[in-house]
Amino acid sequence: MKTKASFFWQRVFPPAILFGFVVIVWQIVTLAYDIPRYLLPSPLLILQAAVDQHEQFLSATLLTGFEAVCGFGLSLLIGVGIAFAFSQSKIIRSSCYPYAIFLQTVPIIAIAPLIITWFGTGFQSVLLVAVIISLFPIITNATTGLISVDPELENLFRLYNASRWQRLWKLQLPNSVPYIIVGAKTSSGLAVIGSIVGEFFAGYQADQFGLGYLILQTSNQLKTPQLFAAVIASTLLGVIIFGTVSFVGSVILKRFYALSSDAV
Amino acid sequence: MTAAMAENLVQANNLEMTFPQGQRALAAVDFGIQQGEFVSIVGPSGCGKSTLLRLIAGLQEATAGELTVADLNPQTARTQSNKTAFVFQDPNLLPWRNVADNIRLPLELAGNVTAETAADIENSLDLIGLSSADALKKPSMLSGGMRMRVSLARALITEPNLLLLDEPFGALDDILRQKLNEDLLRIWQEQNWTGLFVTHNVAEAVFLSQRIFVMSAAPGTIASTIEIPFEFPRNPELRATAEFAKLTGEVSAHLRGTGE
Repeated sequence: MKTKASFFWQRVFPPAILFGFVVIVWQIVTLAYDIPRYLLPSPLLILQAAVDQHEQFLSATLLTGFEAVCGFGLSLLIGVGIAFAFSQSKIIRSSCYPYAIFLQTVPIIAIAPLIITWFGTGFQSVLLVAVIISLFPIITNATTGLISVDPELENLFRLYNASRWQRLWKLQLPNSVPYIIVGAKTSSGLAVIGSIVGEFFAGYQADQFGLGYLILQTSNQLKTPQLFAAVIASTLLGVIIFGTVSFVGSVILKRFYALSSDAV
Repeated sequence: MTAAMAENLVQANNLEMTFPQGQRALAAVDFGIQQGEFVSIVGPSGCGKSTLLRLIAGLQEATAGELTVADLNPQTARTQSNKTAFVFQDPNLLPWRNVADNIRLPLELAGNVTAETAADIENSLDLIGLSSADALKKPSMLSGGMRMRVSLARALITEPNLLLLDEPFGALDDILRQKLNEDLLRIWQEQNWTGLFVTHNVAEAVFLSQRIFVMSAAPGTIASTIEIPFEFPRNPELRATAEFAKLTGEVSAHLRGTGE
């Protein structure tokens, strides 16, 4: 109980106070100086916009969240798969790694027209952008985890005549779990960014859209209160997805190194 | 000579080891170890003690000379009979596996997990002085001494014929080291394996061994062999006797003579 209370007073209370203070000052400034709402809407106006069109915001957030979760899941699967291949041979690793870096460095704006040419607009293209953006951290972290096994543990497995599969399955893969979790945390945040950026280019038609599309539309129409509400929704979505992945990761790690009796 | 060689479980003739970088680790090493013997190897740091152990385990290959384990090439002996076990300097446990699963590992890798394995692990815990409650603990929850005990149990579960120990208790405090020495000796007396024990600690070597090889500085060779005539079973009180002190002094003198 005591630790919970101190957590609240040290970690939750100070930023909450700061937030309240900023919002109040913001509200006062916009009123006092009569700032036009298309430049800087007051917090109350943003809240009103969000409440008035809550169905639209909710469905947009859910769609973008779905894209981000799918993109993250695919990145996790593909990234670990690629890392598996990388860990099996130096030749594969050294010949393919530059192209993995290419994934990381290619400006998504430059290839967005290509993606649209090939896959059109809509879910599949947004997903592709999210995967391209979030794949790299999984590949690098999982590869590091698979190949950076303690040499003495390698010797132990050699001593007991372990096969290549046994080594991969019972030594390299478990060794990579903490690394994959680190990669997954970074990747989950990037997947949200990827979905929103993807929607900028390959978003949807007027009947079905996500937060990226909403941000673009409201910005073009100078509906600044709605724009702010969409930005806040995007941020919250990112925080929720990152927080969930971090929480699940820490639970897995705790089980992995402490309690539990399951053989890996 | 040939008859004696055939009896030896481990036989080295004019063994040489030079690392790829050109560093000479071992030169002209000759020795024989009989089945069931307990032999310690002492020597200055970097004299190639650990390298010698790794050669016998078949983890590395000698650059020249002859080395056999049960009349076979060490690597063949290890892969075919699976009767060589190794206790590393570091406990070397898999951090994600609990104690029981760590001990089971060698059997798993050899495809030897049977219905009796659980009972065997239970017995091995008992043998090395851990409770069955410890079986479910992960290595991070154990003390250094307990981790070393688990490492020892993992080596013994395969019922080895030859147990190679590379300074296993080097990181432990004196009392704990003595306690583990007593346990190791008790297990050796109960079972029938051959022990080869590398250590820095002269008292430990004298307490455990029937013979001690004193190695010279690099490139290492066996400078002298000292017989330890104490009878078994040996009790902790042995360490307090004048004879023990005399032998310890003798081994230390030989060690100093190697030019450390």
